[in-house]
Amino acid sequence: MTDQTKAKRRDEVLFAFHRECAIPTLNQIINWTQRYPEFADDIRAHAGIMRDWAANEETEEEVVDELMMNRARSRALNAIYNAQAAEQDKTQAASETTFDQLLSSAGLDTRQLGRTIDVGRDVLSDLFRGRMSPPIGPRLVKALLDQLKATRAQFDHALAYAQSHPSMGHAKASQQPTIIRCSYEESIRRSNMSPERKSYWLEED
Amino acid sequence: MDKLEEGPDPDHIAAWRQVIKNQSLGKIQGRQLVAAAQQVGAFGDPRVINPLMNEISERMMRILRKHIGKNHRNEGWDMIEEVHHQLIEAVLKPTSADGIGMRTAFVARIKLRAADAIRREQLHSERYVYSEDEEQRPNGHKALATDDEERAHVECVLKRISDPRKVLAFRLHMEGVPRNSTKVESIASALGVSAKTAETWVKETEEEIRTILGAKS
Repeated sequence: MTDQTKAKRRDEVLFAFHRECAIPTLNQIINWTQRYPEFADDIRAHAGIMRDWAANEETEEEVVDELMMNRARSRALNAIYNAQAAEQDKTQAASETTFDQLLSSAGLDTRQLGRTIDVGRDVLSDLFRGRMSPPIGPRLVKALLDQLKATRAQFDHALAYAQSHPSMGHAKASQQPTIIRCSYEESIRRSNMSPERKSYWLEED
Repeated sequence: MDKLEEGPDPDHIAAWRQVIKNQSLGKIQGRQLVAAAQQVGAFGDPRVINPLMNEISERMMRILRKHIGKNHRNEGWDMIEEVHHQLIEAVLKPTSADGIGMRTAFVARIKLRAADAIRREQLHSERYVYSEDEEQRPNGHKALATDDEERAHVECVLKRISDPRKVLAFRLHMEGVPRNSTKVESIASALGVSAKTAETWVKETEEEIRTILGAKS
């Protein structure tokens, strides 16, 4: 049993103990510690506390003053706010778009896409793996949107995702793998495309 | 708490609006308030979710104050606020253990967490035992007159015994049955110690109580 599973199980057993034995009797303590020997110490400790509560049941209830109630109200409002934020994060994660998803829904892979629009696969790889820093050349963006049948917003989401989850370069024995970023122009110029295609993508024509 | 009413179905938002309008949230069982809050959700109508969360939050505070005594650090407020924070956050996490627990048995879940906090304090704090100066005794130093007063003094003494197992041994021992070997055996078995230890604990506690009560009368 992992620590987490054990803690969960312990909570379940103690919760049931609190529900079934408001004022634990001698026999109940013996029964429960025998049924759950692995939590016997916790059961005994909780039984002691519950008996203390029962003995003091009739003492006058302490009033919670306004200051403490205000602090409690503020925690309640924070809980609402935190739950909203968590919900938004979840929605955002669900609507996250990646280049891989766009490629897959267009039924293409990087090689096919590169061939279709006649751009170097190495350029697409820089873009999709988060190594190419924006801005991305308008001509390439337009060609990609056409082929991927994607909106500009989807493209921007995918670009942002790639930027925040870049692929590392290859590990070398001499150093740690690093992310080497380049601009759009650098990526085009170092590509193995023909000079004409490079000029085209750089809009030098 | 057991006189509280059944509330509307958790997803009957219009009915909950009416309850809020009638200022009747206080009459409804805690577990149903939690179920309704989880159904409405954090993005639900603020005129519904805010009053629900406030009622749940205030009710938690009262239950925690009742069960976490002033004999803890900062009169128990640190523990109360810590548990309150943990639980109020869990209300809007319907799949969390506490979120489910409060929806099932509201008071029992809060008592479980209050007891957890007290147990942590017992295990980690040297300050569990309070000095006599800080002790608040009913009736000051007057002679003991009634059974109630004597019981109150016994409780004060028990609060000052640092080992909670000794207190439990004593309470079980006081449970109406005269002390005999079977009884001691049972107490020992409940506490997971030898009969000899159980008997020593009971005797020590009795002596301590007798000394203090004797000194006061």
